Amino acid sequence: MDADVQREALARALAQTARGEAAALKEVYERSSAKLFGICLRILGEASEAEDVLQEVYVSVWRGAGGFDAGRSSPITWLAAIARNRAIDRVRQRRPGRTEPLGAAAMIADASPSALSGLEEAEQGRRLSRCLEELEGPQRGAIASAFLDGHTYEALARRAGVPLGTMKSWIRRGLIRLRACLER
Amino acid sequence: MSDPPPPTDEEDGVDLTAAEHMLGLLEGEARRSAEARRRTDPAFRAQIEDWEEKLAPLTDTVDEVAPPEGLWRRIEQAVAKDEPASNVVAFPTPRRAWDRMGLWRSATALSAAAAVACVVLLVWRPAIPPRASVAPTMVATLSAADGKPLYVAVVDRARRGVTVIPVSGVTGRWPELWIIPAGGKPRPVGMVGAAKPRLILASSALRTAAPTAVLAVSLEPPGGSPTGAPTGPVIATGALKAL
Repeated sequence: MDADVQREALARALAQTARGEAAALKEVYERSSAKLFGICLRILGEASEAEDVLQEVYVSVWRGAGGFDAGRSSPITWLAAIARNRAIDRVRQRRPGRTEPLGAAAMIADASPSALSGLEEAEQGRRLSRCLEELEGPQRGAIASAFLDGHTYEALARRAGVPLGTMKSWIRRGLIRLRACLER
Repeated sequence: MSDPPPPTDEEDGVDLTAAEHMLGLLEGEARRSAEARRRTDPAFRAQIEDWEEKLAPLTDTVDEVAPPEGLWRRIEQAVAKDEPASNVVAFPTPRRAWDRMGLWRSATALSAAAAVACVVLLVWRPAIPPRASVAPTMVATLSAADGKPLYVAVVDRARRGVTVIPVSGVTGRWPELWIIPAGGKPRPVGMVGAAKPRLILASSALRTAAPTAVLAVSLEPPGGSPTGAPTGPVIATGALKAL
């Protein structure tokens, strides 16, 4: 299905969910759960926790679908933001010292543009990909890993084996350049 | 926990807190304070949403994974517990109710909103014979600390739901309604609109509500409070009164 049609169908299902139509929530789930489950799994690294968070996400969508504003955000971005936020909250509630999933290490090591090749599919993605390529490797890897894995500055610095200040500087400078490039 | 980053000319004076919070880079007190700022500062919230949109295509690099078969059933059950299936009815197009605003043009915003609530309730389920129920219709005006009314809430006598009408602009995007029974703790009712009227179907807390209960609205993170108790600032409160 065409991306615009998908987006419109999801926005419509969210609007119906906001009116209390349970069948519409099922449609939202069918159209978005694989993506959201992937996001939760990536951050949490554990299926049972990712399932719990995904359940929380859709229950809160049921309660709060009226907060979605089609004029302001894309439905899948709105849903993904809720999933990321909830998954990060869950990670932060864990006991300190617990082992973290391995995905991030791979991301830092393989910060080449090809690791982000999935971006090429849509226009907005092509532009982001172009702008990420303009960054230095460590900046690009750290920003992508922060977004996808939900790691703190501390965790990213530890993984990359650099001082905290260096990691903050990489990310902050990277974000400033990225914003300038995207708004060009 | 952390040393300040070495300042560079490039970073000097640039506030990236919204991006840092969106990315989940902050933790502990820094994350909590950014979260509190998101709830109270619309400009900050808009910056977070802007960064979210900018980086959103990155989620396309994450492999989609179908959740296990049984998960939808768990969600369905959780939703049913939240709001029983018999109460899941569609909101009868608030637009129709608003179209009748002309009738009430001379009234103040507050009384017009209350009138609209009554129209909504009448349109909603006129088949219910009024005398069949012993519970009274209940209303509450939820006001800010300075006395400014922010919401009018009407609970119908069959306790099927509460219609919540914003009467002045609320800046937070995630206002959540709570019910506080006399001497009890706040219990979640549902998310309310910032500008549009909204019907929230009855939860168990609402169905057992007495005219002694107090309603309150707090500003919460996207999707509502993650803890089941208010986590953000309470922007309006009001006692339920029997009509």
